[in-house]
Amino acid sequence: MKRNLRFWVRYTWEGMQMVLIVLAIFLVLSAVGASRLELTALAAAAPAYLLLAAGLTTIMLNYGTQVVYIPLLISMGETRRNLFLGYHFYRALIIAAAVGLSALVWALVPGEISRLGLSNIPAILALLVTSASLGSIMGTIYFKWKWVATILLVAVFGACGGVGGFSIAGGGEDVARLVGKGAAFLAKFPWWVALAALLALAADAAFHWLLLRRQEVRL
Amino acid sequence: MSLTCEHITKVYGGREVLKDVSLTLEPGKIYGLIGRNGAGKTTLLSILTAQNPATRGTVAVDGEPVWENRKALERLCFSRELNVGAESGIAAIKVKEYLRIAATYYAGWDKEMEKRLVALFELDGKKKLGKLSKGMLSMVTIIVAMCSKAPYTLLDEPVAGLDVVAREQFYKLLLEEYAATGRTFVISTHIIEEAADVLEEVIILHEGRVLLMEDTQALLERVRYVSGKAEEVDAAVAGLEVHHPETLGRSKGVTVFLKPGQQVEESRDVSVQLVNLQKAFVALCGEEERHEA
Repeated sequence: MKRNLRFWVRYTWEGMQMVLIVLAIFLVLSAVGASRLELTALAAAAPAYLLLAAGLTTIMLNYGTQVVYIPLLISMGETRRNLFLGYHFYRALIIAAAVGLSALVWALVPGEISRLGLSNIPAILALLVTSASLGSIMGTIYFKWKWVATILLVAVFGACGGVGGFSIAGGGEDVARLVGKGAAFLAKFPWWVALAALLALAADAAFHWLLLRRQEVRL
Repeated sequence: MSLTCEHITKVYGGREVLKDVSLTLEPGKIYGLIGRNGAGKTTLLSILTAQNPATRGTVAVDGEPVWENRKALERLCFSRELNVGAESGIAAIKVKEYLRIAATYYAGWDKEMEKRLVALFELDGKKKLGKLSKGMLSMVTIIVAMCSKAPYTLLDEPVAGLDVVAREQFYKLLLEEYAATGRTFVISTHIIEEAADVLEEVIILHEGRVLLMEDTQALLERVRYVSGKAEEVDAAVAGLEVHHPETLGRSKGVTVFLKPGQQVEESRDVSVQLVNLQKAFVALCGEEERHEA
């Protein structure tokens, strides 16, 4: 188990590098797009970008992890049980690191955004767990049934792109209003958000374990 | 102390690719696993090392079941043939990263040997697996197999794509490692004749069944190629285990597998010759051929 942990900690670090790259892209875009650069505002917004980057990374890394690394590690003599635990451990580590860092930055940079961010930590955690779990289920589907997953991906990203496109065409006001509404909603942290996160995690774990038990190594 | 499998059956889409296979691989031997394409060699090796689940049957190493058993799996290494085609995900992994992961997971990994073999095979660690030739990929699998130091090491087509010099290097390396450590090796190969000298025992898998498992030398001592006039050959081999008859006009050739106490008499019209492992394999697994004049 020690060797397995060593691998997943290193893999998490490699995943975090990707999170930081995505974060840097967001920050640069934000700085370039702003009419005037306010470092305090940017610092307070950075954790939000970090969380978004962590969410995207946990979704994006799922496919590669399941298609490449898990079969590779089975071929090197690791048990499926340990790989299952390692896989979920690395995603938990990325989420924990992103949420922890964000909370730290918000605590150091006082302001309205920071206050909003800190009061929303449980909801943010629930959202990240949900997105990582749904991303993992997509990854598992992609690994097993590529065409089904491709159709789902096109549908999901097409819908997101469509909503985004309409919002931008409307001057971005819709997006701002939606974000505001979303933040206010999450600040209440409805019980079913936590339940949805738990259900998504349970569904992901069950689905992943069932397929992992039968997975065949083909390198 | 052995690697054993009992009544292994593997079904893919309703087709049985392994049919009730039972084997005992003793420690300190070099086994050759030979069979035609699709005979089930890779499937068997995958099941022996818990890389693939069996539909039925059990596998144990030194008495411990291998499935989901880290302690048992530490005694095994199956360095499989790497496929870096368009569908493969491992193509983007660099050689040094692949070896680093192997070093992390194999308890007895020999770092010094890794350095020595990477230099011997002139491998560039920074290259991605997808950029390597077939022969270079085989070198990577050989390095993993050797450096793992696993007591039971299984190799799938280790010499595929290797040039003759690299193949010689591999056999030399294998024998040196075997002499130094007494590890058990199972080598699946199609280049039978070349490997025959290093294989102590041979396992012939045909259409999902173990057709034969025997000491290589003992096998070669009991197989004969009998040829001559058809009627004389038929008379000479009457009552013996005859395989792969070939006829050419009035001449005939057959391969016979003798049992203890049996022999074939040579005469003016009947020639009797020893055969090599490849010929014996073809006689057992090849299609019957008839060449009419």
